[in-house]
Amino acid sequence: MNSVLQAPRPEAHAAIAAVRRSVAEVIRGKDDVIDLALVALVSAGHLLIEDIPGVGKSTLARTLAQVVGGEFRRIQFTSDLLPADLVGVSVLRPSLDQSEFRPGPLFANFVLADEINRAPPRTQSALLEAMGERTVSVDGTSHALAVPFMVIATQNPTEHYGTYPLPESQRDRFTLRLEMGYAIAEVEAALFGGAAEAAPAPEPVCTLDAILAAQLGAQEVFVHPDLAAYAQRVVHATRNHPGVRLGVSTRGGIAWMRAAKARAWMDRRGQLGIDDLQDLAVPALAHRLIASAGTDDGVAVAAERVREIVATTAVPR
Amino acid sequence: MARRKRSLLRRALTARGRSLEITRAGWLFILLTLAVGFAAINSGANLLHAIFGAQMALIVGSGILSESMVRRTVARRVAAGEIYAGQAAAVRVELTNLDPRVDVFSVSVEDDDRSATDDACAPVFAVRIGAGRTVEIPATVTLSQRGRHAMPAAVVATRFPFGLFVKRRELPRGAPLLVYPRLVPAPAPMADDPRTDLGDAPRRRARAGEFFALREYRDGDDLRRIHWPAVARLGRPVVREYEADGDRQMMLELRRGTTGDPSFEAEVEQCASVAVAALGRDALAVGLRYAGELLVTPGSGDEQRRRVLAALAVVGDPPKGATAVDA
Amino acid sequence: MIGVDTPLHRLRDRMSLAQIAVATATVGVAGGIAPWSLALAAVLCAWAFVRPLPPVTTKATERAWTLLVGVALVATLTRAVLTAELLDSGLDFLLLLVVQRLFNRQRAREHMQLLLLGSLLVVAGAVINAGLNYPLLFALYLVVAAMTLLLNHLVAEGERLGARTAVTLSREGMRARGFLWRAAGQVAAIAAIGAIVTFVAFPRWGVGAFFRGGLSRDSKSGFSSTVELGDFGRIKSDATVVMRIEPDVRGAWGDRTDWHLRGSSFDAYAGGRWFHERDVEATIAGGPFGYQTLRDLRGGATLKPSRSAVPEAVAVPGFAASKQTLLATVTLEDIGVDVLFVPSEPLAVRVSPRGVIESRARVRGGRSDEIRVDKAPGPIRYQFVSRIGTPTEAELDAIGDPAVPDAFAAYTAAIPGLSDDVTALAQRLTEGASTRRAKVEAIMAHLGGFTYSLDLRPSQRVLDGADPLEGFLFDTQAGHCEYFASAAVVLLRQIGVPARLVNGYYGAHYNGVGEYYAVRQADAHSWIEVHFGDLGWVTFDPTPPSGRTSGDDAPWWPGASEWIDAVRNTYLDWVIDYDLGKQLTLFENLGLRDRQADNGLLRWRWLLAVMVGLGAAVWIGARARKWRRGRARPEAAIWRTVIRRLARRGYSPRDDESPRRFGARIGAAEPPIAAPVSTFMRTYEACRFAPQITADDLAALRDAAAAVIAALGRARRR
Repeated sequence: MNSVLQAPRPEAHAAIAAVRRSVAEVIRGKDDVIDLALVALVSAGHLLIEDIPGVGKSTLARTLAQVVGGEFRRIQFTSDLLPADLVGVSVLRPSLDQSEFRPGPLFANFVLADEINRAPPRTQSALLEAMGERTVSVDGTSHALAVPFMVIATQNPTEHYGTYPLPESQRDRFTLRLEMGYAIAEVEAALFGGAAEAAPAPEPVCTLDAILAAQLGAQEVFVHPDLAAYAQRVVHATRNHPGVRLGVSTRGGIAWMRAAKARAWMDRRGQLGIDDLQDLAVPALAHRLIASAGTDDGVAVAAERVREIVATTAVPR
Repeated sequence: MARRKRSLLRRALTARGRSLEITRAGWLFILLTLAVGFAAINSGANLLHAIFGAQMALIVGSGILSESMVRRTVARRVAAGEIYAGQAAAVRVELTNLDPRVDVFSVSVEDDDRSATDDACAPVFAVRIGAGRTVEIPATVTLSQRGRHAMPAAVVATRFPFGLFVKRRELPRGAPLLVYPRLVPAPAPMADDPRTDLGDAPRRRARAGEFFALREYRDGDDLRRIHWPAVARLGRPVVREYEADGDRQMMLELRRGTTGDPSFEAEVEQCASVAVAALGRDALAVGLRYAGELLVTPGSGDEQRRRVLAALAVVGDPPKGATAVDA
Repeated sequence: MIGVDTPLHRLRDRMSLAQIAVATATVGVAGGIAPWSLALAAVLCAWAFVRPLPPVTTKATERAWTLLVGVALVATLTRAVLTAELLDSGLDFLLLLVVQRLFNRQRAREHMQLLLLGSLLVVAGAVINAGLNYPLLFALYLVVAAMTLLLNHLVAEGERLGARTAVTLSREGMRARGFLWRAAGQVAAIAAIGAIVTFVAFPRWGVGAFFRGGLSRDSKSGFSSTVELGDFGRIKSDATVVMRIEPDVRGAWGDRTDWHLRGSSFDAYAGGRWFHERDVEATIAGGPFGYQTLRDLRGGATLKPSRSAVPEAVAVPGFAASKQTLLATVTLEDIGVDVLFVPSEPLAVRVSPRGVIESRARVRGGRSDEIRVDKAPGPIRYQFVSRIGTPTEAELDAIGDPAVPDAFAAYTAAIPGLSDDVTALAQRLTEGASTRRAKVEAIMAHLGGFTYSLDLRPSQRVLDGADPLEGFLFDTQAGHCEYFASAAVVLLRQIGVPARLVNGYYGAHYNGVGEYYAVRQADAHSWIEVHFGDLGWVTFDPTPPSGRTSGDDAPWWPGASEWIDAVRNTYLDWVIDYDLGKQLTLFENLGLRDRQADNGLLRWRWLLAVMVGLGAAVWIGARARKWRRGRARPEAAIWRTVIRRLARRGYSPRDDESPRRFGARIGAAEPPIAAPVSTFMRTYEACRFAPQITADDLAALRDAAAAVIAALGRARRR
């Protein structure tokens, strides 16, 4: 009906819709979580899932990778995991008299970093550097990672024994952070009844090209200057809020905009809306700020602070 | 009729989540101001003009002050513990003064009196919030229904400085809370169930079960179960686990029902009460089945109690005609 | 929550009492309340305050109070009707209400009423208190009342929110009382600024509805119709300034003038008391330029109408200096008399009206050429024209010893009750004097040998029952001005010279700070006037010169009193007498008004035009901005229309609410209009945040808006 509402790349939209359908068949009752994961995918970002064990974090990551049809690797982070275990090693080949690079599990389209906070900080930072740069350098040689490249990291908030919680600066690398939550009652009951075993492994429903097209499309979403100013006001407010010790960085703000654009694109809109920003404010910003009242769960308080800030910032009209 | 008029006036003075109400004293003051103004204009007496001006400035200043008080204050209500339906539960009200330079005086957080619910939160009042400071005030909330509910709609209100005008600002509802079912006195037959009767020294016998393994300490574990030699060896807290005894397991059965149906609600409440009573004795493993399906696997301890109550908080079919949970 | 006794409550109670005290002071200082009722109220308030406050007022007590207040109300109304003491009875009733509230002050409501009563007292104070103390008291009242209001507001919140909150609130409130004081100060400052701005800028027109006058009071003492000999002695050391004189021509008078400012005048004396015998009042007629002119001896006006601004005196034949006049403006404090003080010889006066109440001040002639006035309490401003030129000795001699007209019989009437010694003395002194001037000079010369003294000890003769004047003339030969003047009049009368006593002030002191002449209470003086035929009444001062100025060193600290008096004068001038003219002058000085526009009507038109023009400019500016914005963002106009319609139905968007969410909220509250509202909001957002808006988009938005309005209409009809 409206020219500005028409979005380009119908085939990419169809691909994303198919991905959503297929994932939803496996992860049932979690449509909002799936949507957020797809937003992270389309905005070419990374995803941090924080929740207690056994609620389907890994399943989500694996299913997403399988459905999209990319290469999938799962790395179980442990306290003895070394950076080389991630990025790979150079092996000396006596026959050729030169070193050969043996790529590590990071060289895949989808990397599930399970329980990321169990690995020592050195390993964590190797992963996060790779996420930021999209290259890894070993012995002075840079190796480009796969395209698309997406890290889905999980973190267990309650078990803090023998763990190394991610520093805030590193959480900043993740575009979105989300919680799975328990399955809703009927779904859980069905799972207990054996539904999980019955489900077949999902087939790939789209190509990596379609994902790249979607990522490109999301970048073309129009951002009205008033909305950019609004986003800036919100980000700025996080820095001045008395309940916040450390506000959102500029990089955090950019990531938020990218995620919001991805969401708008997935909604087949060629332009950003206020809701895109507001709905993604908590998943995109909460893990980037440090609340000053940190007695209980830091991220929960931070999320509340973000909600508060959004609720007190006037929207453009 | 008078009530209706007042509400009309208040609606007229409501915009953007703010509302203004004039108190009785406020009306009197306005009346006095008008009288003095009339006298001043009528007589041309200079000092009356000055008084009239002072009164007008007080009215305007009062409005500006109260507006700045509610504008600068954000409040949120945080549950400070478990919430059971129909029982007063502790909440913490956090009031923050957003302004980094100016104090906020005399603000209260109250339920919005326009929303008609049984849910109620006790009002709290802060005399002064320092610039950029947050104060926490304990209060209680009573939510009437189990399930996931937001706190009752709240407003930040102030009558500052003189109680002539009431300024209110609506607050965002905040995240929904899980409200556990109401606890009723546990019915006698269930407590006397021979399967669950553990004699008069349940705790000692609980620890006297067959040793099974060591596992990591989890929140809610009995501190007496900690195996200290192992803790010293491993450097992290571990507890002894005992073989679950079939005789000391209690499976609560709940038939299928509709949320809001009084008889079903009563059953849920009873179920919750029994579970809580049973889990209070450490040895008993309690599980929950709903309409024949296993909802919560049997277990014990404080965490288990929370799991059972959480399941009971949301159990039940949605009433007919209600829309889907997540749109 | 009734009758709780916490530190916060006690502080609030004390502040409540303090604000009432300050409010009462604003009235009491101006003498608006009788001392006995003030004292009674103070005792009752103190009792109410120290007695333990019962937790609740019993029904019986309540009934008793209601009855008492009812009776008092009836009594007040009766008193107001019967004695026309509207203000007095009203204030007494207010005090009774204050006492009643203080006795039953358990709840915040009662304290609110106390504050209301306090403000009524302050308003009453504004009406009757013209003193410099009022602004100070008012400022104090603002702070105290603001603090009381703040505290009472906190207590009221405690009462409203329940006991649990009240306890913590009281504790927190006491802890924060320093900050509360600061807040009270700030609020008071806001109010003060409001007061000043309104005071300066609010146009004064004084509509004057419902005025019926009757505010004037009886004059009390000093210059009333009878004067006891010896009244003046006491005030010779009183430095209070009673009047300020601003001559039209400045600088010609030096630091201390020798004007005889005449107030009251007497023609009859008996037994140490001066009074009026002759019942003829001075005749006063309307004159040129609003002056009220006194009639001269031949019945003509003493002023000639003149085209020039300064009125001109009518010349007296044989009196060269008869056209020497003084034109000055006087601010006379309310010293409880109804006389206007004018240097001899008064020719005309003009009272400047001040607002509606003062415009009722009416000048009337008094006896013996006094000028009396009916006026409301408070200071009064007037202008006078006086003939200050005096006839030369030759001119007086030329008059000779004229026959006394019948009309002046009272001034020559022999004084009763005096012994023959007095007459003998008068005749002995004037033996051989042929002209009237010679007779007067002889008597003055005799008195000139007497001593000026404020220390009066009656002689044996007076103690035995003789007239005090005989004691003065024959025994002590010492006294103050009244004795000198009275003795002179008495002696002149005994030999048939028409003479009279005049009471007033002698001279004035230049105040360099305020650039005016101040007359102090200590300058009070008595002298005589002798009639010289066609030349009229001529002033003679029998008191030795040292006695005339004996009050000059009355101020303890002359520099400071000059300053204080100058401030007081400025206050009277610019606060109490502030009027439309002064407003316009002020605006002129601020450059807000053109000095040239002289016509009063034109001024108003001009002012009105400016105000209308300003309003129009603001309106046009707002329109233009709206129009410009509307052209730049056509969707905004459609949005506003829809928002207005929705607001009428009770829905307004919150600041943080996006249009879509707002629409969803409406839809949830009212499903019948959910669909069109949601469509509109979606379309609006699409238009609003689009790179550019097309005609199609706009048309779609208009359709969506129309659908919403139609749906709203259907919903209303349902």
